[in-house]
Amino acid sequence: MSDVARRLRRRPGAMLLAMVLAGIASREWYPFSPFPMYATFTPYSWHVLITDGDDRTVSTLQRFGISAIPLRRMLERRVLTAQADTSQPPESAAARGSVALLHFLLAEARPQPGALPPPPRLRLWRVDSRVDGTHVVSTREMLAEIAVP
Amino acid sequence: MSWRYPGPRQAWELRLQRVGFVLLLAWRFPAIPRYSAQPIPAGVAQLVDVSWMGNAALANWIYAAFALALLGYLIDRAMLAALTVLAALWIGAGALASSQGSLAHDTQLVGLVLLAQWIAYARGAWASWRRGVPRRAAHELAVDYTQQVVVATYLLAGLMKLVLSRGAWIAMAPNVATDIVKVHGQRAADALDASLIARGDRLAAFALTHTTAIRLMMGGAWLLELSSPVALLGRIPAMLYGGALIGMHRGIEYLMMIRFYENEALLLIYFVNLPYLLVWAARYCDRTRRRRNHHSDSAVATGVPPA
Repeated sequence: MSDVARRLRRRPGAMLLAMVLAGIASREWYPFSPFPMYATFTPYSWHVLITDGDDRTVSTLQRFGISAIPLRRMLERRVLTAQADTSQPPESAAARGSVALLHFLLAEARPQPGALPPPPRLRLWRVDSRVDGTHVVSTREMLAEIAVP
Repeated sequence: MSWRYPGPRQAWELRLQRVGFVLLLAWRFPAIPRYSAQPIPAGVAQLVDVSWMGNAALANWIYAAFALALLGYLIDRAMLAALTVLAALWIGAGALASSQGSLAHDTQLVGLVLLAQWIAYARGAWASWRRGVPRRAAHELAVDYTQQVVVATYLLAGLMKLVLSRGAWIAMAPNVATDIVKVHGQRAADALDASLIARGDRLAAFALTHTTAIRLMMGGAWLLELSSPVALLGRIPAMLYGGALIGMHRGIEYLMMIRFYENEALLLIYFVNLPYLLVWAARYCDRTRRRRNHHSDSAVATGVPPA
């Protein structure tokens, strides 16, 4: 580093320290983050899958322009929002959140070029994966189904 | 050219790094997904409504403003204004993508780098105005801050593993198997490629049956994250850590099918320092060629073949 730059940078590592502190303090405040991804692992995980009315997988990336990867978090947030609605029974929050996610996909659809239109029916599945000995076993459960307008 | 650090960064090196960063921004900005609303505002979107970023009618204007700012940054004119536009548009688009219920982590690092560079150039402009410090110092400070921000994210990721797992991250590592199956299932759905599910099952079985190997691999990556501040000590540590972290990302991509384009590009530009290496290699070749020509000329003049 040249003399002039050294004169500017009186405190070496100050930006490093500031970013670490900001990341910890922010607890996820975009764009700041403590970057906690994959900081723990459990013998159990789950994700979300979309199919048509005949249980054929629908590529949300191709048909709606949204990858399957963020769908789980999107569902969790919508279920939490549904739970916060005290005018509705709390036991229906998962179903309401699931329907909200399917409608969100349709409303925000930006299909990839050449992609097929959405099928007449959409189903949202929860796929659970758990460690069983030396393998991972997956099971799935349907959370919601809607007719595409 | 100097391998020492802190040592002078060359003007051409700083310029080439800016070219690299501009290419990264131009490549990845259009890839940030656009939405028409921000139903679950995240971070900066809680303060400012950024849903206009998803307005299709404004898309061409947004890209034009972004391109103009990239040009200003590239030719080192109105740097603070250029960085203000770049940071606002990048962070705005990232905040909109993150306001759908799931954070767009892949956009965060570049957003933080843009903020850090803005601070560097603001300090540079202030120092230039008050004390006549040359503009070049701001470019050096921007690279310095960029390196610190990148290292901070790796250090944070390492610290979070320590804290959230209560020190048991390596012990938990074989359970990555369930996440491998999850991500392969998601990728298989995106690509409509059932063979990816079988691939995920194979890798998960490997993780569960080769627990020591998976702990060693992941433990090594964790140590790399925790020790990443060493990369700030000089050119050689920066290159070694940059290369090792890119290797770590490639390992994660193999295992989890998650690609870190922004991280890898920033490591390549500012740590491995591809611009510096390319010019160093070109000059080395040029010197070798000149030396060979000089020997050939001497041999012709004296009639004695070179040793």
